[in-house]
Amino acid sequence: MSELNDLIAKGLIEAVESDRPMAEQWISDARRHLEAAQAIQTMDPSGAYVLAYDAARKAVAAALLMTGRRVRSRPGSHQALAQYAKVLARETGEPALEQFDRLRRERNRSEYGSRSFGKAEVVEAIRSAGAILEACARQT
Amino acid sequence: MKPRSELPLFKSPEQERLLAELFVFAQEPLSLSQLAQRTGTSMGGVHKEVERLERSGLVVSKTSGRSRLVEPNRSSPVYTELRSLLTKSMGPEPLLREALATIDGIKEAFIFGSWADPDQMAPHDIDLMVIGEPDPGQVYGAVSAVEVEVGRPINVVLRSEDEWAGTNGAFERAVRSRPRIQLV
Repeated sequence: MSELNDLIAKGLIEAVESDRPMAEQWISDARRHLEAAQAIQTMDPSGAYVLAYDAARKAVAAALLMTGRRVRSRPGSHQALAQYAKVLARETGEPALEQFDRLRRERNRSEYGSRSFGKAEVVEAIRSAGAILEACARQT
Repeated sequence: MKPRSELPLFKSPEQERLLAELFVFAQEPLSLSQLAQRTGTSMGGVHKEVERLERSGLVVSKTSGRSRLVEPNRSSPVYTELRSLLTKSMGPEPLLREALATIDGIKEAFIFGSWADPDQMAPHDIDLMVIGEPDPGQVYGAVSAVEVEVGRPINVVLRSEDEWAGTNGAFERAVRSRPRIQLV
């Protein structure tokens, strides 16, 4: 928990009203992103990876919102969410959440041209994002 | 980082760990207390060793406030060779080699990017290329364990043999043209 308090103290995460309808909306958006990622993975592997990451990101944000908190919109917000995913992984014993930070990092590197994605990486990202989504859906 | 040298060349395991912290892992000059903490050695032990290394020209130090900050002497004639030996004995190389050896389907694996470039200081993260058809989850799991030991993120790029041989975009060209450390 102290790690979460740290994120709050640094102003990266803020308290809001817990909002179940919004959290459920994000979970269903995430499901659609994942389906879309699956559909385009051969045609556009990098696009599919980005969508898979975004599905996982929205799912983690939904789990956070259910606790009455959200990531503030500022530089470092994705990283803050990744730190929360690690906290949540420990709290819930859901190992899938440990992989969120890897998705974030690799997606980030692709944005800056430091890497491209192979087929197996995209398949694994979609699988991993799906597991993260289900773990977060269990929290909402 | 765990002491797991396979290279019995140094005066003591403590000396090797101290040199590895300075030559392989440090991203900035380190104080004696940081060195003591990172190597699990007493301040007295670190002080004595740093004195000896500085007299022999392998490290340099300067005083900043109340701290003595130590860094490798990059103009030493043996700097490059020593750093390379320590990376092989104490760096991520042996840990990754061991971790990947247990996974089926890997045809080739190497470290690329800044970490593999002897002209660059220890970068924040390590780039790893894995070629073949291993289970990606197993690769990420093995790499995550090494990340904890070396205290920095390891970015994994996974390619099938066909993908690697058949693609030559900007990323692949950059990887092919720059130094690498072969693991598998």
